[in-house]
Amino acid sequence: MLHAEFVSTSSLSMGKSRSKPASKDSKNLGKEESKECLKTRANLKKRKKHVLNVGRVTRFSDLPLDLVGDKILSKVPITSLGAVRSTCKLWNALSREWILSNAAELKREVLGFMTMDYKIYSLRFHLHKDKYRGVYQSRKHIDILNQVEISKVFHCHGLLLCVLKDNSRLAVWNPYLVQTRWIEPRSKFHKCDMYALGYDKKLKHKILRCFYDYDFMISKKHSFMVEIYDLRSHSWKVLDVTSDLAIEYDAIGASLKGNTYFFAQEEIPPGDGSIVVSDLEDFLICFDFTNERFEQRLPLPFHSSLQEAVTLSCVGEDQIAVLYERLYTIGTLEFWVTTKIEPNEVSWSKFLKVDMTPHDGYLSHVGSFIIDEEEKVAMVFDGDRDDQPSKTRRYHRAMTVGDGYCGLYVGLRKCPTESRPPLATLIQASIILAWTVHDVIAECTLNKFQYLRPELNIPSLLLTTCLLFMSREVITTGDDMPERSSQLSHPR
Amino acid sequence: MSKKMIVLKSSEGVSFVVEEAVARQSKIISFLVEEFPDRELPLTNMTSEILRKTIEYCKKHVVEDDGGGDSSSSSSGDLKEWDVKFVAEIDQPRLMDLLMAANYLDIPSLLDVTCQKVADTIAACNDEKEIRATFNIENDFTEEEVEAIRMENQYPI
Repeated sequence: MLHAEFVSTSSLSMGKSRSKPASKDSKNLGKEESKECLKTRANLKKRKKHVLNVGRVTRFSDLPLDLVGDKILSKVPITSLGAVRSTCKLWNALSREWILSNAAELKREVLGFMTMDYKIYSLRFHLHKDKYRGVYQSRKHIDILNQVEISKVFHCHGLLLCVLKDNSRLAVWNPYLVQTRWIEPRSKFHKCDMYALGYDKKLKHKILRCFYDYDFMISKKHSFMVEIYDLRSHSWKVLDVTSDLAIEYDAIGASLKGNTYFFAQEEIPPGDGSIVVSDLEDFLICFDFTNERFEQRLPLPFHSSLQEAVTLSCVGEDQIAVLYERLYTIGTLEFWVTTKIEPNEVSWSKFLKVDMTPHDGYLSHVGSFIIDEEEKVAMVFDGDRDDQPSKTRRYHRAMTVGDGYCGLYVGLRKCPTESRPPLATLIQASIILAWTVHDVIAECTLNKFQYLRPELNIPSLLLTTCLLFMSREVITTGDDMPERSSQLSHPR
Repeated sequence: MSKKMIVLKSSEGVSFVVEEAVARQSKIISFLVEEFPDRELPLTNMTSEILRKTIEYCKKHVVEDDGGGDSSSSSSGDLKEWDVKFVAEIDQPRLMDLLMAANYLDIPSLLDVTCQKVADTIAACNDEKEIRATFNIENDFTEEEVEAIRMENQYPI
């Protein structure tokens, strides 16, 4: 009885009393915490038994806790996590417990966001070749950024850069904290701008914008422009970049340790159009957000012609995968993964090759993909290539492919107005974990935290993420929240 | 060869005659059928309405393993759509009952579908107040605790 009381006031109330007994001795704190966590469920069950016999009609509160925590709350998109946690103590405890106790499982699960039909959807899915393959796409698009149409999203460390369809502004959105920061252009944004979100070694977030300034009248040459927006100083800066490379404007870069990698080609030599260009050098290139420059060209394990497509994707926190569609999707899909990648160094290993000729017409335009190294499968997101909307056949799809294996389509959502393929951008499980545990960290230092929960095996990058969340200066939203930083510097 | 039928009895005493293959999607029934063949199985905690719904679901999802060339069996895409419609038509109290039934009878796919529906309903709510109203949940947080959570959710981007 006494114990039940203890649990309900400590672990259920967001650990208010946690800092009281143990702040001196972190070892004790760790033990108590894990004990508390384990006992939460048992004690909640005891509490619930009294309630169970009361009503005859099944109500939500009558549902077994296993179902609420593991089966229901785990299916709610992360964007609703804040509301779920504030609903009642039980839900708060269950959702916390679920995420903390499923850290290993979460690593197998991919969460992300996807733009379709100019709206953002959250995604959650498992990749398994033979077992259950599930894609949970939120039925409803996310209205945090309501009334604006989003054409592209980029993810970097738990933040999402959203490009508005009308090119008027950019939005940086933190899905967990449900906060948005709007960014105005230095000069007008254009449809053909290429963006990326990254951060430098001092954890300053920056936005990269590249575009071509077609200035034929003056220089008879289009010039490649590179601008950087510093989210801390709220300002744009034009970089002095002389470049002979071309990055397709709707190319999605892969964000790795703050830097962004792009697939790029040699710039088409200026001419009067009389020379037909059929072959250009292609390579991988890293934009280093610390040095604020493009690094040297990195080799790709293949050579693609102008008619073929190359798509990048992140694998965990320190690898990149590339998809090379030979002769587009009617030929073969080749997946490669990096064995080593640094801004100036790369090595590749072949991951998967799928012959798509027996599946002619299965794919039309792969916009993004993800791979699962353990299961040796990939999931590709596909949409119609045609610019002309067809009312009869306009589905966006996700498909799993493996060695000699081509999974069923998972119809994502009928999309009558937009012809672009869905763009999925993924969030590593560790970040979701960070979102959930950052309140725990708020009460202890990061070092202590690592010591407290060794079972979570938190990678250093996660700690970086935590730092980002902890750091008030990373992206303060400006004048509208003056007291916030003072609140934060005094942990409860 | 006629298919083997079994009888399930609801809490009101109404009997439902179901093909064994259909009922065997429930792991509990599967077990009971083996232990007590040729007996009526009483499901005292399930109303006729919920039992009927559950059987409807199981009939749709039964895997035809005999009789070659059954072209009418549903594709997984159709089945998914059917599932979505199936749960969309159910009101919330019945959905809870069905969820409990799926849990009790141990029918994983039905449990998954019903839980997903509940999760979607939660996600469709704009804030915690709406969630509480929708599911009739009492707010057991004190003012201070609400404030604490609010503060946690206020970290700048």
